[in-house]
Amino acid sequence: MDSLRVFLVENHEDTAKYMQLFLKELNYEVCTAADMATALREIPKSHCDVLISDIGLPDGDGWQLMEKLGANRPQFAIAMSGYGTGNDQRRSRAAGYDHHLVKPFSPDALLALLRELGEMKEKKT
Amino acid sequence: MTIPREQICALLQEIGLPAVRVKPVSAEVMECNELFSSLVNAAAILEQRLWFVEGVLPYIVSEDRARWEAALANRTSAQVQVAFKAADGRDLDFEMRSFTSVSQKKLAESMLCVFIPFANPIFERICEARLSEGRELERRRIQNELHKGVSQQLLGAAFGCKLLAGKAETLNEDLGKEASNLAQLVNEAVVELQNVVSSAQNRSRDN
Repeated sequence: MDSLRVFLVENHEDTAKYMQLFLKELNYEVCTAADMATALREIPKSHCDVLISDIGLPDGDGWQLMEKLGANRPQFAIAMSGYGTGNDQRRSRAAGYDHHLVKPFSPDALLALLRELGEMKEKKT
Repeated sequence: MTIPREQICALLQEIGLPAVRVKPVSAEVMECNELFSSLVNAAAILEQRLWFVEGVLPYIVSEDRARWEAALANRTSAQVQVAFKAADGRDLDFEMRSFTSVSQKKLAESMLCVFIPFANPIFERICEARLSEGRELERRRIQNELHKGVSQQLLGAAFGCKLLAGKAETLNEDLGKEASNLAQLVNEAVVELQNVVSSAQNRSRDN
């Protein structure tokens, strides 16, 4: 099974660093951005399969990011947010995210989702 | 307990209750306390309220009588001067405001309508409202702190520990176990914090 290419948008430096190292250790290809502008610029070039984006970004939010990406949206998307009300989750779904993870979540929770998305990608190809 | 009249007036105004405001501060404390106790005391009996209606309204000064009648007819607020006589014959001035009714006959009922909804003593209600407001502000502050600070750091720590545990296992079995335990501990803290945040959000939403 091909490893998923992940694009991580997270402005908390340590969180981004350890998430990236952790995913790389598990053979995921990981690119990162700390804000929406960088993400908008880099995602189209990255050919990533999965976008994992924080909802609260310094120059916008993860919902706007999805809207602005338009046709450049990756195949899968996972939102991360400290807020997890029904409304937040619905908004993420409406924006195009497949999943909405409420921070803090366990690494195993993210891994389970990535494995699920990996299997979906496999089936499609 | 005798509550300072200024405090009563300020609190009545603050909560928007049709209120009586004393002007000027009179030395006749007994008069005022009796007047206000009939308003602020939820246990005040009908007679006490009627005392207010019958004891105060007749003393509206003639210049303000028409304004008072108009306010009654239109169900609007009015400020009127009431000329009281103290026991020694001196005038006691009161300023009344925001009393409305459809007719003089129904005035007693309207006064009851105004005050009966306040099932608890007013000061208790004010204290409860302020405590509730304080609790909500504190809950939101904690929720924000959790979101912006602890939760974010814990998320990074959870991934860092998991990463270290994976690497440690390849170097030394015992070290790997210890690191896995540490990662598990952080993971449990993550889940616990997630429950706290979720619970705080639900309470905020319910309120």
